[in-house]
Amino acid sequence: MKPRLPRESDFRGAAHSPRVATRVGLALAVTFGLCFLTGLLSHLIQHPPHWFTWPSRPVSLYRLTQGTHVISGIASIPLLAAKLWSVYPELFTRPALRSATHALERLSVLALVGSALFELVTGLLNVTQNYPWPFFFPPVHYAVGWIAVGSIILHVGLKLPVARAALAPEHPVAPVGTTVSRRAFLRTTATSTGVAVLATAGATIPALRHVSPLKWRSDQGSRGLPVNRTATAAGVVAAATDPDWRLEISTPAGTTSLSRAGLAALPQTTVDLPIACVEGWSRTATWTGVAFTDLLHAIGARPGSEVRVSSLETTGIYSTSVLPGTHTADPLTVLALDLNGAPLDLDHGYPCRVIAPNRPGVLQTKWVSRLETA
Amino acid sequence: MTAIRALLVISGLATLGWGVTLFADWALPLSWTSVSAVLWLIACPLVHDALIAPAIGLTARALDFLPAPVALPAKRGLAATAVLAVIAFPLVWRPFAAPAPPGAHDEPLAGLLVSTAVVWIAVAWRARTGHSNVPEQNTDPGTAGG
Repeated sequence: MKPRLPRESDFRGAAHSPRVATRVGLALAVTFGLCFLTGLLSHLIQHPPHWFTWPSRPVSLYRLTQGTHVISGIASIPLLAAKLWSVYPELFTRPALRSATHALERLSVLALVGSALFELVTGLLNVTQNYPWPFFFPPVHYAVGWIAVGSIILHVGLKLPVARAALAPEHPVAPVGTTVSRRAFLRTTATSTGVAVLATAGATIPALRHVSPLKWRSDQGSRGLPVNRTATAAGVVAAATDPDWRLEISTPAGTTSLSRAGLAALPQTTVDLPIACVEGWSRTATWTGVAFTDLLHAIGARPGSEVRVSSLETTGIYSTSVLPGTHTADPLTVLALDLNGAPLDLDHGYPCRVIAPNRPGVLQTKWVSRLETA
Repeated sequence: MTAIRALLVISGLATLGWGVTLFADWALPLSWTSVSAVLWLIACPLVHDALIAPAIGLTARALDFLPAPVALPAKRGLAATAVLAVIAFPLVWRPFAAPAPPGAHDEPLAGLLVSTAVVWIAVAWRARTGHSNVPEQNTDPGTAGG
């Protein structure tokens, strides 16, 4: 028999019914919607426009939102695979284009499939810090996220009558041909989604830490806390261990220098706060150091002032961060000297680092060298 | 309904357009970096449509030759295994390009093997206890076999 391309009519399984496509699509809309909203929030926190303020409480809110971002992304992998399989026969529809609306629909599907797959593939590789591409991940993932959500909304608008008909009780009986019923296909999709979430959610949900075999962060970091960027990778080992290290604090009134011993001589505050990474993992630890409220009082500045934090790391977009007034006024925001009862080690930010409630890990600047208030 | 559809189409196009604008802002002027991102965008659906989807279909078809009480649990187990393999792939594929951060790797290959073993123990149990789905034909319209 001469080989030929499949025809839409060759696919007779119940998995390809509009009812399955619609139900999986609804689930996917929820996970992608959560992923998009929490990703947008993370972007706004890291690049705040003038109208946006992110609170310092509840302390674990960012942990929750970014954990949701990554877990909903993981859940989307089997859901998207199931959705694409359910509508795969439409790839072989002939004629390929029937009308302008049909052309728009197919174009929107191409944008949807390309952007959705791109987001899941790059997101998955990013959480494991495995980058087989030359581009910088965050801006591309952010832009394509808008394309994906726009394509989904457009697709829903174009397919709404089909979806409504597919969910109606009088929907006709699906074709018979294989051993898998619609319900079985949906259950298989749900099971695979559950397995994917259970296998990874321990990265951020403490109760699942010892259950998830594929979480991408373990407790093997020093002091039981993972490290995203080591002192060696940041190129700060020599500067951070220099006995002449001093923290410079610049205010409109002048500049003050404090040694680590000088910082340790100030009133100390101990807080239990999570490190919540943009890559979705999070861990709570006990931090001791100087509260920013005390530090700002000590140098004659007002808590609630915005503080620009510079690291000994001189390159990279995370070498500086800005602590907004909402965080410098919060007594839980600390310039940490100790972690879990012992002095900070190099990889966790020695000689001192920022720990603030409800902040992305990339903004908890390590190896601090300078603070500036306006 | 028409108004809702129009609203969805317009807001979808606007959102999509905003995404394209953001992407163009980042990508232009063109460089190898931005071209590589475009290539990834194109490659993802191509790889899916030309390789992954046919592999799913052929595997599912091959499993249809198994006895009915075993076929569905096997398909379910294979689906879960494939998902676990996809999630584990970036962990087991290669060492980190950057200096390995402590706590990043937690025996991912062992994790994949353990989770896969759990899945297939469940599959074996389902097949043995006969809880698998015999095709649900002519029962109700929502669950008809196919």
